[in-house]
Amino acid sequence: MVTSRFAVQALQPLHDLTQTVSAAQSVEEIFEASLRCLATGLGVERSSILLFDDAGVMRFRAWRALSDGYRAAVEGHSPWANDDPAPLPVLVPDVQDDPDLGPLMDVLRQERIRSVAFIPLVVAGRLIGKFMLYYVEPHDFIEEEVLTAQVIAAQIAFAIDKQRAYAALSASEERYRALVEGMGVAAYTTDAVGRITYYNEEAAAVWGRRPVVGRDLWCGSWRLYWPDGRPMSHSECPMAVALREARPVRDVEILVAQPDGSVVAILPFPTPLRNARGMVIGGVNVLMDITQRNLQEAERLRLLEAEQQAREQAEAAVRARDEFLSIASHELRNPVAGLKGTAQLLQRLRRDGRADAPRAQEYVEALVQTSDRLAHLLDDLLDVARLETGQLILKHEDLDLLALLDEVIAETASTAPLHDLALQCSETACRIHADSVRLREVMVNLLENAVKYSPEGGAITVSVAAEVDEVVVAVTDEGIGFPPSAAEQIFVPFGRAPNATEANIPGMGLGLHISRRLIETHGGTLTATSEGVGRGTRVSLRLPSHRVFTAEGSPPPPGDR
Amino acid sequence: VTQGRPAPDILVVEDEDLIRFLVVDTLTTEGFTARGARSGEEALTLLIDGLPDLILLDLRMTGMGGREFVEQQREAWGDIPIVLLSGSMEAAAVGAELGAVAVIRKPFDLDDLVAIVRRAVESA
Repeated sequence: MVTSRFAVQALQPLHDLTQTVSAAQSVEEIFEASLRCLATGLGVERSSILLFDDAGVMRFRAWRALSDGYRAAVEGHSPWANDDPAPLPVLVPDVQDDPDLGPLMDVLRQERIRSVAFIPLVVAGRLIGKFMLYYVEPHDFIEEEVLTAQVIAAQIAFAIDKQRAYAALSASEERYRALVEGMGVAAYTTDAVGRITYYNEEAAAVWGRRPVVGRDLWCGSWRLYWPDGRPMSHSECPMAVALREARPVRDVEILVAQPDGSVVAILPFPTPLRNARGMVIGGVNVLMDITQRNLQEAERLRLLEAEQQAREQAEAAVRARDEFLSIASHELRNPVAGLKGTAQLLQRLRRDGRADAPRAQEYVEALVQTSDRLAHLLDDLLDVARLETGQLILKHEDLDLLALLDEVIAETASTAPLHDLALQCSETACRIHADSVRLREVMVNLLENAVKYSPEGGAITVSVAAEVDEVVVAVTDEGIGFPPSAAEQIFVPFGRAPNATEANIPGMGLGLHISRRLIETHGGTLTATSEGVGRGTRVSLRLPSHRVFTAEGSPPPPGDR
Repeated sequence: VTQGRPAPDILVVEDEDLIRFLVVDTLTTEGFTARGARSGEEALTLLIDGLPDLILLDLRMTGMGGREFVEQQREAWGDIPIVLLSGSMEAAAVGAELGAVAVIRKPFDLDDLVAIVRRAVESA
């Protein structure tokens, strides 16, 4: 039976062909398997496969037992139009009977071809080429033979098309992979679930580890944090969000902690990938390492802040200086105005011949007092200026603080009949290292203040106590005190407590400022406290000590000198 | 001072004792009636005894300053010509702001002060 002969004979080769093309790595493998199938399945030893080239010309791609000359002579020939939507097999039982082949007759004869079959290769209604069967003798084609040839043709065409698509796809993939690997930026891909399918070396460097492809989810990081340091779970990471919500995620910064403890700041660009039907089939993510950028930004901000701070400080210093100059000039103008006016008044008295009037003598005394006051004010202003510019040089020496306090208290007491001054100290000597002139200046100022700000008299106590590594001198009076809010104000240049000005107690507000600066230059502190207006004042002076208390007569420790 | 009329009354508000004394002394010698106040508060109480023809006013004083005094004085008594007597660098600006008829900078010349006061009183 003719039918069964072809069917049975062709089955095994067709199966082999199917097997081969499904695993084929190249189109050449498919050609080879196809020619083998034609030989074994149809018993045709001479055959060829031709495909359209890019210019639309049929070109030999594979053949068996055909001479170069023959191929050169017939290449390009096709029985169908290139765009024939349904080309049919063309069977020529005897070439000598076919007038269409007349021009090729000599070539056919020379190649000993007496019968040919043109089988079209069609994919999705598109002609991509043909295969040819050649016979030495005239050949009567039977239906089963043609059908088998067409089945083989369908296989070949499908395999070639698939191979081409695959080649195009891998070329595209190769292009993108080369791009991703060559661009020097961390990138990776995932499947639709989020499992990592690919990552480049830069991504591994960002993560500080190598994730397991097909297992690690969403990203290869070890630990993730929000920019403010809160931990971020992997399911919260931008790539997970991009896949879950099927949208690109942008402008979300993350911190990636690497297993070795280092942390990098990352700006990710996760984008879901969709297939032709719009289904998310995976994701691609590019990771920008912005650690350096952030550091630079932070450094820039730090510099900017430092610069602003420096400028504000400079401006504040200028304002303070202007304010100081303004007040100082006012304070200087008053006594100078007094001096000038008094001098002119004395001139007038002399002019009028009344120079020996009693009030002339009063004005002369006022001149002396005002001059003294002016000199004192100038001394204070000079002290302030020297302290501000660091030009005040201290002459440190070992001295007995208690002896110094005794002297100052005695001097002050002689001019303060309303006050009761006393020194409280359990020790008999207290040796410290300080500038005796300046320390005396401070103590005089503190005691004069105590007298001045307790106009109704009362007790003024100077106590001396040793603490761990400092000596504390406190001057306490029973005077007008000050509101708690003024505790710092009274140390500002020209600063005075409001109740002091209200009580018309004269003063410029420089004494405590100078005293504090002098004590600070000694490494100590000067502070004032009051329980309120009318409740007395306590000024505390702390000086660093090196075992300042000694028994009377014993020399100070050598280290103190 | 013009014959037949009472001597113009000058109130000197100045916290610097020496300046207040010598200004009051000089103006008195020149034929004015002069009173002294050592602060804005004291000056306000003196106004009760009678309004002066002119106020010589320091700006920066212990207690109530010149600016605050002018506000309260005007509220209670209306306009009284004012001559500022100040060492402040802003004296001219403050004088313009307060509508002072003149500003005398410290230190000042006694003869100038007398002349300015006389002119201010006569033009008032």
